[in-house]
Amino acid sequence: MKKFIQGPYGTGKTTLALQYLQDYFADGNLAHQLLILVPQRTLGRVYQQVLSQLQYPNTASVEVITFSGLAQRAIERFWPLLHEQVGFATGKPPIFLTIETAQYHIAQFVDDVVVTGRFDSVSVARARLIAQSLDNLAKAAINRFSLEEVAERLSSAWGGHSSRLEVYDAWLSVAERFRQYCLQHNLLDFSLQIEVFTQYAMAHPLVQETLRQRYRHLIAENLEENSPVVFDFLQWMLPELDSALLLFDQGAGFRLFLGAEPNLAYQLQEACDEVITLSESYVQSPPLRALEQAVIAAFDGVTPEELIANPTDAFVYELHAFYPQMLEWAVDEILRLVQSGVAPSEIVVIAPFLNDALRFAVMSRLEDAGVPIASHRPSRAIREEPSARAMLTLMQLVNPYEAVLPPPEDVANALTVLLPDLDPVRASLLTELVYGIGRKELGSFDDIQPIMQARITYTVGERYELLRQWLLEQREYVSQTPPDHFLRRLFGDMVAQPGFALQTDFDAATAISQMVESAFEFRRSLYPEGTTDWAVVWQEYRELVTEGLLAATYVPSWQKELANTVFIAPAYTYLMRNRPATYQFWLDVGSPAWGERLEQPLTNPYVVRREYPIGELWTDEHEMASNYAALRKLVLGLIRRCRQRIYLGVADLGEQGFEQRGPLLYLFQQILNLNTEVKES
Amino acid sequence: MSETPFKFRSQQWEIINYSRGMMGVSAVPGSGKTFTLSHLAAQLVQRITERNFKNEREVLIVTFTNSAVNSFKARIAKILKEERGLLPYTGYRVRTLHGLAHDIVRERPGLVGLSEDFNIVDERTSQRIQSEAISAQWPRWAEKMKWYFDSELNDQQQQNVLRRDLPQALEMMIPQFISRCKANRITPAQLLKWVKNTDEDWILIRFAAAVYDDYQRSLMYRGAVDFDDLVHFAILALESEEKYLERLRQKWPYILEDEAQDSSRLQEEMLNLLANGRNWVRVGDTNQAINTTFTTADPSFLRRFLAREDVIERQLTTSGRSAPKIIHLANELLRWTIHEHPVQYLREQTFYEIYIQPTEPGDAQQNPDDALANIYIQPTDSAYTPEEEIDQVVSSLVRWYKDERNRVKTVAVLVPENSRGYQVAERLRSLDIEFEELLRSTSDTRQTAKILMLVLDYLTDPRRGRKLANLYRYVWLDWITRHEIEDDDEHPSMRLMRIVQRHQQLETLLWPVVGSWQDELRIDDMDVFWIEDFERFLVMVKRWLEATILPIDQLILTIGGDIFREPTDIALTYKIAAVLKGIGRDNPSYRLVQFTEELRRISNNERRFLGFDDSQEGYEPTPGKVTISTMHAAKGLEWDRVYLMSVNNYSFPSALNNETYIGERWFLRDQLNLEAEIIAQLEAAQSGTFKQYKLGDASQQSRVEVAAERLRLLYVGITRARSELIITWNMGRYWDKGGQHVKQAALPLYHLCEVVDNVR
Repeated sequence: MKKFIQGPYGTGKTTLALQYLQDYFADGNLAHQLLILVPQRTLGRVYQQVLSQLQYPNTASVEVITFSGLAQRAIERFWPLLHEQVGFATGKPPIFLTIETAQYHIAQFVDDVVVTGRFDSVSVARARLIAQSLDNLAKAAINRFSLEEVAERLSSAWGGHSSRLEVYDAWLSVAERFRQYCLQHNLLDFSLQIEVFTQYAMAHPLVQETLRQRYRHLIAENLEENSPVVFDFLQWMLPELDSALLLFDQGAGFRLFLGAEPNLAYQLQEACDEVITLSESYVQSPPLRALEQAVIAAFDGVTPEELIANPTDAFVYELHAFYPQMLEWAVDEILRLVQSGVAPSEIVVIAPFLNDALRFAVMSRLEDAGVPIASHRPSRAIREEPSARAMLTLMQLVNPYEAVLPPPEDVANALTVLLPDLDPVRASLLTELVYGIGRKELGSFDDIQPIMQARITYTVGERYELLRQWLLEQREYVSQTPPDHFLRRLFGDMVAQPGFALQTDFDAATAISQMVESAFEFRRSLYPEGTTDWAVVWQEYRELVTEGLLAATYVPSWQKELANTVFIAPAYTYLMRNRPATYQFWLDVGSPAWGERLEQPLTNPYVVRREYPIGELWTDEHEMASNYAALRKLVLGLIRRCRQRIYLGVADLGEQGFEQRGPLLYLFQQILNLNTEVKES
Repeated sequence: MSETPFKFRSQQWEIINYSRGMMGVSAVPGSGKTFTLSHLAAQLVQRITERNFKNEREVLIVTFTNSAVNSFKARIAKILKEERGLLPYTGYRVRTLHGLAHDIVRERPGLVGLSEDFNIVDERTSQRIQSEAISAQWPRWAEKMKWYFDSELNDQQQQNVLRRDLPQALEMMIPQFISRCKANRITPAQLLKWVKNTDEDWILIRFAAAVYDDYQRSLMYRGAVDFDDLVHFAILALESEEKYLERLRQKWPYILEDEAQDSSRLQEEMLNLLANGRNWVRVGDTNQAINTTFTTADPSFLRRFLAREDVIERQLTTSGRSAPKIIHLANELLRWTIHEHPVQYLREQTFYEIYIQPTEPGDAQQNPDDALANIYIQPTDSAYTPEEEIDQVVSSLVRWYKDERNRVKTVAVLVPENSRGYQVAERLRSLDIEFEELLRSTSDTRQTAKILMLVLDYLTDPRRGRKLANLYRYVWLDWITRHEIEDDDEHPSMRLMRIVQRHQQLETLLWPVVGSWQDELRIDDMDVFWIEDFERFLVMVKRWLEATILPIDQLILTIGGDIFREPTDIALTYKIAAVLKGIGRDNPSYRLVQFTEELRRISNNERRFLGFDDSQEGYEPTPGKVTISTMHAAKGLEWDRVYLMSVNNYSFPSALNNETYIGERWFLRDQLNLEAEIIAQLEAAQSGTFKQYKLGDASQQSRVEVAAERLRLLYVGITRARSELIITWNMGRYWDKGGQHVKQAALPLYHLCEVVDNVR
């Protein structure tokens, strides 16, 4: 039996799926024949948890996987059948690129084009040019467009100044050269992984046979968040399956910028035996349901029909002149809620964008007040973590190949981070004494005057000497040691040992292990065969990290979310967590960024879609219509995930000091006016 | 139209009742322009209130300065709320030209090739990039520049000029040049193509074009725009997407433009596009156009607008600001210039013939009484040296200051340039006379940055007792705890400060290994309150020191969070944190020392940024205190007594032969003005009229333009005074060299002295 279950968020779709899971095992089905397909890994967590609690054998062999995970696995397995046909230069094992390493490789081709001036009509920072170039490649793959078609779509939709056409053309040459380079070096970025899987692997009878034999049952969670190639795959799979459960969240499809196509997903119901529609919310209170009604009416430009409650009871708001005042207010309200007995996990804080400063300000104030808070990511990228920076400083210090030594401030900071009991004042003194003017390496503690030794303290001196000796020894081996090996050793053999500051610092350890991972990926994709002198690679790696091309991502902190914490996240990230909350704080309601797409001059997520007609001009009307559609989805998605009340924080001037007059503000104003009118009448 | 309510004059009421079409308003100084415009805006807001959030419409008000934006915003909000019962702060948008351009670009950055997170470089960064581009290009061009030199220069002088004077001059010229290119919407590629094969007298522009090209490429790499790009890009966005333009036209059905005499070519172009011949009200006083030199701002835009057939012209000629005597003097300056000035261009181009009228009896704002009013102009035959002029003005101020009756009055010293203001400030400081400077702005931004700088200054050098002592005194005592401490050396806090200042081992105070910091300082006899207070200070400093390993923005937020309580200060801290983070991104090698330097620049007003630049609602003079300001910065303000200084024929030339001009450099031939020449070359290149360009013509033309603007500046100066006006002048810095170095009284003073004598 294949079922298509649809309904808005909170109507019990996932609950039905979990019941299906129970029944699946109760009926004696085999675990490894079940495929649970999720659009992103976090959405699979609920299934993994339930599976781990079920009292049946082998539940761990149920595959909970994303489409690209499935693709990667198939490519690895069938590589010998595929590599030649695709055009890879050798049969050596494939190297899957992460976003970081893909950015690194494509950067050279972007730079080549930048110097020719072909990108001159756009003012986009290098990192953005790189990211957008990859984004177009990904869009090509998930829609099964050729690279030429992507360029053609973008060009024919562009109605502005003709100089932009040259930019799209330039992108095409970057993409083609990058693609050739990947083929020559057995590299597979995301786009190539999808292309190889959908166009080659899936066309191969052996692969088809294997997949059909392996998977007999399917649960597809949040179907609407998937991209067209996933639907192609499901269309192909469904007729052969013994059972399937497709879950479709009406009104969602938030990942449009990543290729989500809810309309195509909806069409899959035709391949199912039964369509079940759920409509009653198990989450929202009556005022929130009324608010939902009022919002829908506002978007449709009609007067709402009889409301089940007063929508203005569903939210409170406060206007502030300045942005930090708004944050202060939100923090105070959260503290009040927690003090009144609300569990922190019942509270979420949402903003259209969450920059580091905002995250830092809110999190540090709540933490100071003893309220646990977690974010989808911390407020600092790995490379900005003090512990990771300390490692980089030591790396630079040890490497004889480096022409420039780290500045004393960096050395003092590194010592403060790594040596316990060393305060910043003593660190500054110690650095001046052992790394003063004219020195090219760290001097010995034993060589400084006893009076100074006493000031720094002997305990610190002893540990400093241990670290220094170890670093001295490493100098000899730099040329023979890959950078990730050095970082791993520095951490494992030295700074995580008893007597050093990181021994008990779990967060620092996580950041460093992420950095080691990034160094490893860098080496694996760039120097799979090794090299004669690693010292050069050390420097290259360190510089790329400093420029922000590597280790610019964040330490995943999803484990923390599960605990009883206030959760702070950008709106879309929160929506994709599928986690309702009793109280939602919406910050920066006046910001125009709610519902607005990210502007990417090299691409356009709406145009590079199957359903967008080639040749149709993309105008401001399209832009506004899509912005309002996105805003509608976003606002309704949030309201449906709220049980009790929404707190709206409004600041007249945004963080940068600009007045904020976004559409969300006007939407709520209209709802407030409506209420006044009702009362007056 | 209903009957005029008491608080409005009939001229004002007529404007407030405007309903549609193009309207131009000429307003004389003190005629209640802001007041009238605010009421008009409120009236229109009520008219356009919409019920569907997707079609939200706004009255768009464009003005010239950030402080005017804040002032308008607050005034309109007040009227909406108190007089019209509407929600304040909605239904209208007040912007500077750059603010508006930012709104337009920010909403659709992709239209002009920007990402949504595009970066706006501030003036300081922009200058730095330009400086780098000049240095990179200079070696290729230096020798060729000799063509412009005065033939009298010897080899040594030539070398010095090439090494020092000319690069300095170019650094001042290039920003104006690039700005003009952008105002004329010329790209580096176009310019390079036009000037490629020109003769040697076009060397200057060829050099500048190369610098412009480097500069623009450098901005592109950063994904950044400068302030000028913002305006140019906004127009480009409107032009390139018809439907976007149409939507904005619907959104802003009414456009009110304040200070329209300062409107630049691009501003006019942008508003013209948005208004589309519908509802556009332009208000200004062409007689107060004082921002025209080497910019594209031109009062003739407003004059032409007023002359259009489809424009209704209104006037606000009644002013209750000054005593009739002073009004008469200002009117006389205008009349004399238009009818009697010896230079024809100045007679025709300086002023628009509109005279200030005193108020009618019964007016809500009566003019100050003439009987109490006074005007003094230093006689044209009685010359002072610059020093003597300051002596005279300061001794007059001292008399005024000591008179108790003046405690409730306001007074200002207005000077043509900042440097002169500093000299006056120094003298007043030595005499303990309270004053406020409008020279370097003392706004909140500066103050907030200064406090943060003091903290960072210590954190960069944490073993320096003197810096910790400064932190204790100026941040902890003066700013955080705000203890009121008498100036007493024996006070415990002063004692603590001295001990810290001399302390050699600060680690024993902050992180003592054995004992406590009190043991270290031997202060057993001290009042426990001060010991505990100091303990709290140390805890805070430790927290900051530990935070130095954080990224700069997070460090600044941590410090700001501990220090500031006022919402404005906290908001500025956020802004500064974001600015420093941006600077750090552009300069990965920056550490605390460099960030401290950047904060110093912000606090000295050397680095300005868009948004929050001046969060105040404008300056209000404090009674009993002296304001020192440039005449430019004084626009829009008024004082009971005003001193106008340095009104000689150098600061206020009249385009006569015996004068010398700022901008004409000693080492150049034929009294060339490079700024003027290069802009003339640019205009010629753009219009393809290379042959019509003649070296030197532009320099001559710039003299009359400067003279015209300076006459208007004098008019602005005079109309700042309510009751008393004192005008003085001096012989110039080089008076002792004799000959043409000795400056005379500015030409108009000869006539104004007679006017004053006749009145007497």
